[in-house]
Amino acid sequence: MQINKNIVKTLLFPAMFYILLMVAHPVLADGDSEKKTIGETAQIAVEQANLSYLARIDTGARVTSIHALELQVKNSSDEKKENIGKQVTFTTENEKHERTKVTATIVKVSKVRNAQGVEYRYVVDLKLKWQGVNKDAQVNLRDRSAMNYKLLIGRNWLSNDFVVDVDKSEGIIK
Amino acid sequence: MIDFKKRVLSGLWLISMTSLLQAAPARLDCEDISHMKIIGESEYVSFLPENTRQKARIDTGAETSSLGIMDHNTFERDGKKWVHFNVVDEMKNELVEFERPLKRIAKIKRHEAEAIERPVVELKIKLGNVELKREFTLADRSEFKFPVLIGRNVLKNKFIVNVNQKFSTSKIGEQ
Repeated sequence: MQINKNIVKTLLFPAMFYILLMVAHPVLADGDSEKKTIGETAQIAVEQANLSYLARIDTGARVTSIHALELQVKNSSDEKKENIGKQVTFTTENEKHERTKVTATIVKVSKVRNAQGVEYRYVVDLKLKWQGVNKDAQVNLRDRSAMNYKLLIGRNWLSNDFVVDVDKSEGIIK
Repeated sequence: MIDFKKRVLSGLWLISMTSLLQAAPARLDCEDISHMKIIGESEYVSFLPENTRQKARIDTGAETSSLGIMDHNTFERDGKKWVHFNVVDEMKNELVEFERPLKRIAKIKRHEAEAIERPVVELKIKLGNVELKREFTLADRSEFKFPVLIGRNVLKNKFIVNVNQKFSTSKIGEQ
């Protein structure tokens, strides 16, 4: 009996330590190990549009941007800032020229400075899905007709969940 | 009996320790990326041999890297075209002169604007502890928020970008 007790003791403590280690692994490991690796481009589905886009993954862009045309704000005011909280309906199109209409709530109006001057863009929340990861992000609406990629993934969607390896790609638009 | 106890104990410790050692590194999607360095959304980059340190935006959206310069002129040396250009070293508060053979002229397409031509030269850089020679487009530095854009021609097969970190390769610039 005494022998059995000792065996239990000697087994129990290391076993508990072992279990503790197993549990602690995610904490001990580098935070990056929990992140998925995405390539320079990726097929990303936009839930609200029920469309998939070949997206450019751009760590140089702060905010994600989607191709949007024919924007219509319900009860629109002349002052863009006053439209925050209102519904905007827009047409979006992927690189295969598949189109849909999307209605979303304006959560922000962002000021964008570029070569052509100052531009204001509506920002909406969209759910973007890649390889089983579903993630909401603020996305700005702009006319990307002249651009190869109709969806540009910025740092706000990548943050906390993805790292970028440009050796990987899910297609290139030329 | 003591022998048995010891054996069980040491066995379990061994299992625990090896599992700890194995689990920490290289769990990124189970791919072999051991030769790749993880860098942040912005990093310090040194240009060699001039050894000027510049702030760089790590930009997977850009194909070719670019360097913001003050001014440049092309000249001939041994029958070949060269570029002379100046780079501002913000940390030392001085102008650094560069001379490199002209590799090519890049035509930059712009939306709703005329295409612009920019000289392209090969530059040796140090990013973290990795040294490599790559093409850089020379652009007017006033056009960028960061004097350097590190594009895919530098990142390919060398670096993985984690936008949750900044200036991670140098302790001096850590934020």
